Amino acid sequence: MTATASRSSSVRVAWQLLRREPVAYAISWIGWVLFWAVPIPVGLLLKAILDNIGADGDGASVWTLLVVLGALEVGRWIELLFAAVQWHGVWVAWHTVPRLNLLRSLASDPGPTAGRLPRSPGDAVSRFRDDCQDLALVLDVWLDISGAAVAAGLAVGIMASIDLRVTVAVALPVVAVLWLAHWLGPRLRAWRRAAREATAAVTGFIGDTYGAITAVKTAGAEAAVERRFTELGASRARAARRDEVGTQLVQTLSGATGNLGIGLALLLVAPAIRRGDFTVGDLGLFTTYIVVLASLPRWFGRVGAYTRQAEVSVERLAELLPEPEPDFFVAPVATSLRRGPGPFPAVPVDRPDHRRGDTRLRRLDVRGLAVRFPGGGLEGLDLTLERGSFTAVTGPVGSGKSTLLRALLGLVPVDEGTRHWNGVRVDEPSTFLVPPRVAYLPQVPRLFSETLADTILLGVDDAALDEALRLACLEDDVAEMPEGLATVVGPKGVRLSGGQVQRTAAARAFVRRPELLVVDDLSSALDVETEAVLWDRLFVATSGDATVLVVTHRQEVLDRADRLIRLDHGSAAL
Amino acid sequence: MTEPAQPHLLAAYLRPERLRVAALVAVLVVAMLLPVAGPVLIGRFVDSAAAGQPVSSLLAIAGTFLAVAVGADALQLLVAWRSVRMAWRMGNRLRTDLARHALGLELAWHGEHSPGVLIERIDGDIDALTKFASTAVLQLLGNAVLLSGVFVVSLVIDWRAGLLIGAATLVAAALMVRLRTAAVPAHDDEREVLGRLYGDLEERLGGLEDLRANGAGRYALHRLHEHSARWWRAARRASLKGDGAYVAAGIAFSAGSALTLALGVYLFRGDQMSIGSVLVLFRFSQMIRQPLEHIAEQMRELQKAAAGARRASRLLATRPSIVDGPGTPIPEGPLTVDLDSVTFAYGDRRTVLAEIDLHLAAGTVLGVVGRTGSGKTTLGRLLLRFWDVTEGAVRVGGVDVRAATIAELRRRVGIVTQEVELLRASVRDNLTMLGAIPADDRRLAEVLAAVDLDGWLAGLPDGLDTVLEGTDTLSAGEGQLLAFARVFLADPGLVVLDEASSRLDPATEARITAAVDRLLAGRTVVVIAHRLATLDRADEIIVLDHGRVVEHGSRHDLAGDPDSRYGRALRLGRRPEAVG
Repeated sequence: MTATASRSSSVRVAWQLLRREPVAYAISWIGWVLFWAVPIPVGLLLKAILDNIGADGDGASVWTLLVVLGALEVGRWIELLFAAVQWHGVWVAWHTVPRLNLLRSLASDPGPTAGRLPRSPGDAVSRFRDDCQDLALVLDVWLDISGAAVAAGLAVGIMASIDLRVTVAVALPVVAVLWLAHWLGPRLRAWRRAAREATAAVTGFIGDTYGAITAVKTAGAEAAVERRFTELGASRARAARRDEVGTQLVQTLSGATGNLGIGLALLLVAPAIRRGDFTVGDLGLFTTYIVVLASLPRWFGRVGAYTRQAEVSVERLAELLPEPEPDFFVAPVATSLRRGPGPFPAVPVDRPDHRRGDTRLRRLDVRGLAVRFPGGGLEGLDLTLERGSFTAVTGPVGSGKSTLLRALLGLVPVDEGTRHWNGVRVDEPSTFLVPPRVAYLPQVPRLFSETLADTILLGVDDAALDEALRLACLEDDVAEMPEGLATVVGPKGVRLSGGQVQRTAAARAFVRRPELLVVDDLSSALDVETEAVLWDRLFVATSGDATVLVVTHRQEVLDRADRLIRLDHGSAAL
Repeated sequence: MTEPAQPHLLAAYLRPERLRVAALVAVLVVAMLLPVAGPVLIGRFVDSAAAGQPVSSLLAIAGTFLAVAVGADALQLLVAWRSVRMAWRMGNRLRTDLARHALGLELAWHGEHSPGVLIERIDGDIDALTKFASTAVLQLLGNAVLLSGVFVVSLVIDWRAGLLIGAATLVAAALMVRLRTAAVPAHDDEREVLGRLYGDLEERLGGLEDLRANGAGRYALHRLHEHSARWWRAARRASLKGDGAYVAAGIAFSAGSALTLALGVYLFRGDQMSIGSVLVLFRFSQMIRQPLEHIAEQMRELQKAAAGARRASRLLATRPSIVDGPGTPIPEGPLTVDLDSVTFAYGDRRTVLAEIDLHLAAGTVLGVVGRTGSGKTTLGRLLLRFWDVTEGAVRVGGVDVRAATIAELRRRVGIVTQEVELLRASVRDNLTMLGAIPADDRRLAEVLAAVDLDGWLAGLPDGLDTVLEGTDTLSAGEGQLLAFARVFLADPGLVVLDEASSRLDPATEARITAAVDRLLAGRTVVVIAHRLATLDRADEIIVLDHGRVVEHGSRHDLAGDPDSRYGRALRLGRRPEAVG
């Protein structure tokens, strides 16, 4: 019952996606149906040629027919090239629409980010890649099945007009295999799933053990690892063999329908051909059309398989949304694939003293903040940040320091609590407590692989770039890089040291000239002296007007604080 | 670098299968020749009908056709079944050998090869290789047999028609090879664009919090727009070139097919060919496209497999530089440590440790301090023989570490580093390292209690069977404690603590200090220090500077000596890195 419902949902989502590019889809559809339908006139021509092979009949000469047949066959391929190039553009569009909708939701919609990705970022990428592709495959297979069905329908019609009995006979094996494939389907799917899981277990185990190679070696666990690996490999081989042979069986049976049909036709027409009621041309036509019919089971199989695969994919994509509403990620969106999006309009950064109205921070009040999760969290936390104050948070491992910062900013879901910005209640902290109001420097910041300037700016204008580099104590590092701010950082460029990463992330926060700076522990990557310089510079630059909330263990930093919050097991001990 | 010839690898792993391979090839040749008989039987059927043969002989031909068709499919299934079995047997043997070999290579090698790369080496490459060895080789061979069969039979029917079909095949093959090669840069370009698209996506998805907190969501979306537009252009260009090659070959086949039919008509009219043969040749001219396309497909697999085999051979040819000694037993109980004028350099790079002489009585706690790069970490690693000394000798319990087996050495010497390495496996497997360290549940609970993790254990849904996945079940600090527990489970006589408490905040560290002290009792300990407070338990201190011992004495004496570097640092409250 639910399976039927969700299948219709994957069809509905695919239909929505189709409607995003209806003209392009129609062009593709025509291209594919034409390609598929060419064997129909070819069969008729072959029949005419064979029936008139000895002497030309009343109509066109055999040589004319041959030229037309050759032109059709060659033209079919040229038409295919046009269709293929056009199709590749639509194929990209089918991927791009859900991706743009999903990324927009993940990166800028209101609500906490924590828990938005069901598993790791790598898993999310596989959803953006493979699950989007699964959905696109449904639209693609509709093209092929349309072509195959149109061609098969025409073929059956023409064959039936020649000999109904033989037509039924050649269609029988096709129907039988369709039924068999349908019956085997659930088993094949279960086998495929088992094989995939067994493979994931093996690759996961390899990744894990070599990721923990020092532990493996120090424990002398090499033999134990090998034993486990061999066991996993053996059960994977069992699952994979079953899957591969099962798939091959269905493929072979589908392929066999063609020759079985021809064999049955030969048996049936023997007397008629002997009498001359069934001509050689008819036989040529039947052998051509049977090939067309025999491709049907494969495409029917694929329509079913792709639709079911897409059900899972639609669910997996919907999991990336705050509300699992699949229609959302196929919502209309401008893909601008043909011309590209053009240059990004940089977001202007105001000077702090020019800011007016609700952007300018006077005070931020947090009341009764509570985050509850098994084995930790926060309970009833109150906090007031006045303009120009320096507040430090400290406490043992697992006491909820990072959670406090992220809950305040709305990055993790909060069970209770309110935030008031200048006395006005903040309903959507995740979109309100952002630059230029607040900038956040996480404990383990993530930089993006692009030029140093781009990874700092991330789309804001560069008015405050030099100042930000200096505040973050990064100017000397930049000076030492041969390409300066144009240096590409990340796995394919220059690898930054841990301290450089942290200072780059600090520059990323400073360049936005935030009213409130929220910092989660700089000590793991900056030494005491550098951290002190950083704070000193910030105070000079803002004439002591900087508002800071920082998590730290360092006494030197705690000494600067106007206010200290000591967390213990999720509650504040002042 | 000498590159071992890759056919050797396949040959070595195929050798045990050679009889099965021979049988498979024999079956395959028959299975692929049977389809050639199909059109010939249809031709005979037509000609017999035209010649006025009785219906019974027509029925006999039709029956033969059916039998041949079913037989061919059955044999092909048999081949598929056997070859899949063979591929998995062979592939898993190769995978296990590679995994074992990689496990035996030293840490320096692993530092240069990420787990992701090893998944590719041990699984991805072998997948391509075994698919090739089992499926592709057979298909390649089978399709070649089919093509030759078609060619020979058409030559027999009529030499001109045979040559025409042969020529169409050659032209199509040449076009396919030429144009596909020309399309390679376009395909590479598309892959490159896609690689960047997904790479960028993974970074943005991994840094969602950073994006949100910096208000950079729209910018991230803009990047995706740019990458997608680039993909659109690259995909269409690659399609034009790649599908162009496919289409050009298709045109050659279609032209060949039409010409064959025309030739048949011409020969029929000159009474040189029967109508049945015209039909047979036309069918043949249409049958050759698929096998040729399959062959082209498999040639690509061949390239992938060859690259995989080369990489696998190279991995197997990498010799570990650390190999087992003759197996001198290391005594039980706390171990003495002796470094006899030890000098060490990584490869040909600068010397990291120079002429270190150090002798510790069993049960001593030694603190090692010095700046980053002074050689502290290396010193600890030498005790477990992660590297071999360049000169001199390291002895543990009086036994040169190169004389003992590596397994024995690592059982008796434990290390806790700041890198906590956990498996996505149960708590039990993580503690015993998949059973390598024998211990029952009671002992596991004891050890966890000793590092103050009993409360944590009690909170786990499945106790020791709880699977550790990510940081949800375990904070960084708890991970560090688990690593302590793992080492003490093995009951080593010498423990190296390499900045082991750096992830613990002072409060947590203080809480477990007593527990760790208890665990360290009765063992020799080398503490490579992060905080000077960590060294409170040390009996002796050495100060390293540029790979040399610049100070060595009892902690008590050094602390009281106003001229010692350690004492000075202690009074200034500096970090151990700043000592020296």
